[in-house]
Amino acid sequence: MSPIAWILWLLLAYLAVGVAVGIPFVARGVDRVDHAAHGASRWVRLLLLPGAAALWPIVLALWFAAVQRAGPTPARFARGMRPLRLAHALAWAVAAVVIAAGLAGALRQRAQSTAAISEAAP
Amino acid sequence: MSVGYRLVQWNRHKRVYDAIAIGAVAIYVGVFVGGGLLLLRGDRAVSAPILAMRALGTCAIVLLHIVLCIGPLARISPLFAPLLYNRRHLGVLTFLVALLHATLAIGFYGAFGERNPIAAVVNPARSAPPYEAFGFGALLILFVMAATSHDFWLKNLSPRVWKAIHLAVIGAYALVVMHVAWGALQSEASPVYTILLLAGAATVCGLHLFAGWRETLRDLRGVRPIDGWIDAGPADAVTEGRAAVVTVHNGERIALVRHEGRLCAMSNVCAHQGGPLGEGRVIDGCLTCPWHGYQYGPCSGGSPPPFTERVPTHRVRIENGRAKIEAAEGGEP
Ligand code: FES
Repeated sequence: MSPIAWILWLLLAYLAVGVAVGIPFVARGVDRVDHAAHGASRWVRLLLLPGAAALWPIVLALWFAAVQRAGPTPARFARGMRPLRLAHALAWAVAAVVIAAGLAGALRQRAQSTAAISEAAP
Repeated sequence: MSVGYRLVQWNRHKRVYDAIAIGAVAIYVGVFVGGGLLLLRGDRAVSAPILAMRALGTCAIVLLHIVLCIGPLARISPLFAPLLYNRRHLGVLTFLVALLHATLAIGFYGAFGERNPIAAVVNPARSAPPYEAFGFGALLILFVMAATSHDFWLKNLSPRVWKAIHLAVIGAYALVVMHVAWGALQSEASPVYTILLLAGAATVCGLHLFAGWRETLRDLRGVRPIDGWIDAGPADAVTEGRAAVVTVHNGERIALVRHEGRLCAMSNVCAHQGGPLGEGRVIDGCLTCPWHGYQYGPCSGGSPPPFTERVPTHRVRIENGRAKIEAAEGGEP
């Protein structure tokens, strides 16, 4: 199997576990984790399911923590934004280099195949 | 602000914003497909499903560019802050349009039986980079962004973790550019698409690099506290109902706000998505975040009931006409 096929199978397995964790989480877990979720409609819960399936390891940790302290997640202040700002700026710098290199490679490849086609033409 | 969760936190502004966005997508796709059917004839004729696939693909790319430009533009100038108001809905719309594009591409090529569409992603019969896999990777990231866009996730993951997860959109953008460059662009004879893609990438990366550079400079110029107090400049520089942002040397930012003649200080970081409270103003007696309108008592740091959001406060004193903010949090103002 090619590496991409492996990645796809692993992804599928990850998502299957995610759905298995996500269904009980949106049915019961959300109420334990967050009091504001009490009385949330079926539609709201359904809307939370894809996110729960995608982030199931974090979801399990949140749920476990809520059961341990027998209460919802306490409100947290949005502190420590400087590392995030730095990470954001750095990520864009790296992306700019990767994008520039990828674009240059793609344009070179196109020029080469166009040249090959015109050479092959009678 | 949250007391209980609703499916979508719609209000009049958001409905108008969403209606315009959905209408624009519908018009774009309609004009693209209709125009293609009318103008491309004979040898150049393209079938309606392929036109629809291209229309949705290009539309998703345009939307992604808009979504990605709003953030740095709002950081560069508050004039663009209103666009941030409903950016999450625009992000979800981008994912849905991209999903339709991918569904059409996979279904269409599968139906014709030329290639197994899954195999096309898994094992393309070329030595060139697999542009299908780039597109699939980008779609996956956009899915995670859209799936975790509800306020429930924002609140329970904490704004910091939520934002960190959403940094992955940068990777999605890079993958989208590669998807187009190594895919559609390889067989496109006209230079128009190449120029558009280059201009788009230069704009998005340029705006983010510029905004990031400004923010980093601002962090580096942060004020150091002396004896636990930060000099925030002349007290009368902050006018009634307005606020100023003070950057501390450790990178934290504090909003200094004047309300009913009194100066108060609170964290500059909104509890919602980390918006810059100091760039907001006092509305109905509350400092109002310029991004999505969360409100906080200028001196208490708490949202008006029944809301429960809160940001840390700092004590303020005036010394020789200068405002001094206590570096430690939590003191009564
Ligand atoms: S960041 Fe959304 S209201 Fe402040």
